Amino acid sequence: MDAKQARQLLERYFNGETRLEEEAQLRSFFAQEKVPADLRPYQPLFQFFGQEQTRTTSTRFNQQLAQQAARLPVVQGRRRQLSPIFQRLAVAALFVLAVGWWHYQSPAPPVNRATAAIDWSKYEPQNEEEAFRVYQSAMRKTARALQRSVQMATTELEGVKKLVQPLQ
Amino acid sequence: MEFREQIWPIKDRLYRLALRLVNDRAEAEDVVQEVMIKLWRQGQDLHLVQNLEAWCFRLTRNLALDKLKGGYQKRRVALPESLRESPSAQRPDQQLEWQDTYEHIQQIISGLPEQHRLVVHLRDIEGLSYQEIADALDMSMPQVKTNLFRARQVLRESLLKRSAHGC
Repeated sequence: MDAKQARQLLERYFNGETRLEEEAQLRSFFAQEKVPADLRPYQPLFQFFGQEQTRTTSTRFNQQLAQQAARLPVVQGRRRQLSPIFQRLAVAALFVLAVGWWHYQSPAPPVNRATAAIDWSKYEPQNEEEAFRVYQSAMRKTARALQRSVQMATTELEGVKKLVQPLQ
Repeated sequence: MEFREQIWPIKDRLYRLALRLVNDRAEAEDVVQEVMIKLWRQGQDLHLVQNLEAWCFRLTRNLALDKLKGGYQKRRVALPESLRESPSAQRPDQQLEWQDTYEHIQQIISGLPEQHRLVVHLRDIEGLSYQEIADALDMSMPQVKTNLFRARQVLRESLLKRSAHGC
């Protein structure tokens, strides 16, 4: 870059219109020993900037910092904690999902396509004693099914509790 | 790891910015240490920061300003200031002249309003783009340009005045 170009660039520099590359050109222009007299007042400014770029922290400080960094544990990303209300909501949602999933997975009763052909009158209880036996058997079956459901729900709840425990 | 790869290499740049504000080497190093510890504690959350360098500059500026607001006690034993040597001066008298000029420019910059001083520092010493400066100092691009223009005008006038007085 010649002196004329430097003058133009310098004008733009002081008006805050130069790009970073142009500012680097000015720095290298003013780094040379012989500079035209009219541009000499500006030479120290660019030399100053160049010198300031070489300032660094002291060796003692770097050593201290490196030792400190070595002592500090490696921090992983902070674990997000759910607030208690959200924890409860999460448990409830998980429970609902678990119950829903269980219902979805349970095999649907097979469709008896021959229903129309069965003569149900054959199975009707003939007397009070037989009716009572049928009723007793039905109640026992219902009780067993209810017991099984409660057990399954308890197991599911235990599973959910285990999942949520680390959050507390 | 972000810290080793991205933060450690810029510690000197953070130090220079802190020094520009607190004007004391030991205090500037304290600021950098605080910044480093804060960043270290962020751990992998640093990935979430969009422009990490600008963010570090901003953190440094804030901590340095906090220190100034707190009215820090000047160290009883200042760290030795290394002698600034002129890149072109050969003779001892030229070196002395350079020292004088260097101090003069340092004083002009120190006398600038804080925003002007920081913009000049980040642009002319650290070589940041206008956008990076805007991010680091939390100001708009036109503000960056205006501050830079005003600061450079002051520098120009001071240099010309000094030259006219034959210094």
